[in-house]
Amino acid sequence: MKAIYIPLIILSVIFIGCTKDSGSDIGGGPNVGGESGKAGSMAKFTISGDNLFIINKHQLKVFDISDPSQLNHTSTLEVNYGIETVFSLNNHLFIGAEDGMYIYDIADANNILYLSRYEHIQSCDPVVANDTLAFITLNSQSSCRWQNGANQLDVIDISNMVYPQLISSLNMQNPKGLGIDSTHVFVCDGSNGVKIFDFSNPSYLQEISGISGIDAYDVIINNKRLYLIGETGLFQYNFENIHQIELLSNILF
Amino acid sequence: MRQLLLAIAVFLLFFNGASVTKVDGLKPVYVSPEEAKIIKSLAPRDIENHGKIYIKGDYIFVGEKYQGVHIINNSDPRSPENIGFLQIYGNNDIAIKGQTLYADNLTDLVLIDISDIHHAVEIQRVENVYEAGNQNYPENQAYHTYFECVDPEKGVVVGWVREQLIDPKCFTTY
Repeated sequence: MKAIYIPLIILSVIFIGCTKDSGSDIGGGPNVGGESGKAGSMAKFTISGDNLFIINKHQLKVFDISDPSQLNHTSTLEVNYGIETVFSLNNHLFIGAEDGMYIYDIADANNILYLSRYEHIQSCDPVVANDTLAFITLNSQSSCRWQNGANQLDVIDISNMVYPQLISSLNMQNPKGLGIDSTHVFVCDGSNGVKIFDFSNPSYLQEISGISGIDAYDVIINNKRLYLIGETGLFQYNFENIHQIELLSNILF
Repeated sequence: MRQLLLAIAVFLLFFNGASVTKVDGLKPVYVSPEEAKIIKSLAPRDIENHGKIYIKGDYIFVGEKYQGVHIINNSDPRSPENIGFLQIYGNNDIAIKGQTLYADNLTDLVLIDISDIHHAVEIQRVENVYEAGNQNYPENQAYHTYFECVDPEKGVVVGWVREQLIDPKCFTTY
């Protein structure tokens, strides 16, 4: 009996040793992972399925990336005004442009369909969405806004994507990037840090938590983790308990 | 008398010094047109002009505006480690699918194989996806910010650094 256990123990020690040692190797240590990654809300690139969407001022360009070593230009769409951010969810693409938020149906990348434009005065701000709600921050300091004093978070009903409707607006001080999970929206509010709202009732957002002391400009929300980039560093938090957000680490700039 | 002369001398020295206009401004960073399109893995460096963030698998990528991306090994989120820098001049955005990183490199869109994160390899370049960016002045600065005039003979402008400029002839007018 003992004779069987000893080699097993040795084997397991070797195995543990291996996984620990290969720190810089994709094979065993850190992993790039299989599917596409996740961008912050200020992104001008987004991947949806086998397509890469990039924006360039007045154009949306679509590339087929089904072959990882070669991309093919599929189409280019002209949009009237300067585009600042792009976000995709399932078969929809949300564009934050100077003259509003555009929604496109991208189920067929060869035939992108314009669905609607939500006009909020002169915005080129980040947008994130789930199946029924879109969240946009409007910032008066934004470089593409000419004369609008609004600093706010808008919640928009997109259950009918052809007819987006404003549900509620919240005043903010200096809102920038934002992110969502299933029930919370996380808004970077400049030197006020991150404000966290429960949107269970989208017509009345409830501020339930936050992160202060960081001049925050963008977030990524992923599996109860919050990745925050601010003027002073990159910060990671665990928010399994939303009322008690735990700082995991930081890399200061 | 001697004291008066000294005082005059000191005054002249001071006055003379003040007549050289040294102002806080921006100086272009040049690289050769060839270097501007070279994608390469470099040693980790400090994050200075931080841009956007992107997460993928065990990695966090932090943009260094117009220079490339910092690579953070985040396999232990309590102790992330800056492990390298990917040089991509003119870069603002990246996206990654599988082991392929897509990035803007000045006017081009490049595909970079990152299966070996320390030895990234360019695998495809699509030229002129973007209109040529502004090479003439620093963007998003306050009105009347001084900068050293751009000399295209010196190469491609891939960034701006803040410096004390002597009598600069150019300033922002937007």
